[in-house]
Amino acid sequence: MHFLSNRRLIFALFVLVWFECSVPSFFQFRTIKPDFFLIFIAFYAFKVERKNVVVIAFILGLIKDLFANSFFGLETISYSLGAMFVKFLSDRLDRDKYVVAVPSLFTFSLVSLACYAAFAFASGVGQVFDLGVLWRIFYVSLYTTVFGLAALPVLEKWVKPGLGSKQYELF
Amino acid sequence: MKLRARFKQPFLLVGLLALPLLIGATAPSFVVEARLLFTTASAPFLEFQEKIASTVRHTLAEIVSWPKLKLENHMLRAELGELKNQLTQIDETKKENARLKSLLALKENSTYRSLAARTIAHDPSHWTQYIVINKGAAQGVSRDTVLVHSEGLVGKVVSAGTNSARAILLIDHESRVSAINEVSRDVGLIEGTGTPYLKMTYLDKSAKIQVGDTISSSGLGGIYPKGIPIGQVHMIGEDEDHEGIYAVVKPFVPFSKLEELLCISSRTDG
Repeated sequence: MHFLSNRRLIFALFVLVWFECSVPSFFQFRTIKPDFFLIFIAFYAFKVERKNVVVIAFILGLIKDLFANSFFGLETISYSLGAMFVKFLSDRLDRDKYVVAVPSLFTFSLVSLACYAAFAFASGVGQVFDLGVLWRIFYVSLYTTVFGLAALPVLEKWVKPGLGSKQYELF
Repeated sequence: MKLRARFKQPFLLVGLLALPLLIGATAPSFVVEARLLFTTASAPFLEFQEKIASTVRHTLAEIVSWPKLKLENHMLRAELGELKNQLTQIDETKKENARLKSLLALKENSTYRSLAARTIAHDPSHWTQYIVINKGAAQGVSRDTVLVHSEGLVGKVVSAGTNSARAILLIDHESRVSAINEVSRDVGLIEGTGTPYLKMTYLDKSAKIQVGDTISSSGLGGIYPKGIPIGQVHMIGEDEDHEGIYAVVKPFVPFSKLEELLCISSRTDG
């Protein structure tokens, strides 16, 4: 896990956690808010280095579990499983195209949030898995994707060069 | 690296992913302590960030409201003259009120103490509704300290660190408050739903609750003081078992825009 010795990545994660704890509440609409962790994970998988995305998701999930008050571990496992899915997508799809990255972000958000709700329901610690929860999953994913539309190009321009992504040789 | 190769072993991977869940299930007290430690350690950063965000927010709000302010200034000057006349009248009423109070030997409510606090972080989860405030055990904030906003009831503290505390909001689906209808005096239980609305349950079928009635805390639970406004009745419905009715209550407090709060705790606490 040599990539974790990348100081710029650690700094980016630190800023991201800071951002996630403060900014989403300003954009909150009827308790629905965008998830910047999901945007970052999708960005990392599609634009930086897809191989380490599960570890990044695990760390971010663990941090969210420490900040949040839901059942400990649920955020970690749902982010990690979601990251496996996004890694699966990024392995098979054209990672450079936004028309691929943006719908993938939406699907990844749906999968992560559905994992959370399913695990919470199965372990009997969360809300009932009803239509309201399904709508919530859909709205959060949609809202996150809308923010992702603006955030992904910004991250690519300003954050990607700092993270030292791999250059692939074609010939 | 070798670790990545080991990740490919599914059992090891599942075990690693499930490890936090296992910790959450087997050692909840450890999780509470870890979360508190994490909040306490990050509180100075969160407080600094909140100050920046607050400055930006207020500056933007001032710029946006500049044309409005000019118009308001004219109106307020006109109102000022009228209010000066009323002030003299109020002074008289105040003196009369003080005299009557002393006659009736009414005591000021001194069983509670209050402390101003600021919200420094909001819950990042999509499923729970918590906040972190910048006051903790060192300032007298403890578990079950009640949080109040200028508009009404906010929630209560669930765990307190040295200089910060985590509090559950009224709209969290695990939140419960005994409440009373200010108009009909019907008592019920206010429950958080995880949505911007609250649900008032355990109401008798004969309850004379109406849309628009004000709901406040009843003081029956022993934690929340009596008479703190909670919200206004938005809708009334019948329970699924047809045994009673419930009311959907719109809270007075803007939970997504919480900044300054008041911590209220019993004087006998801590």
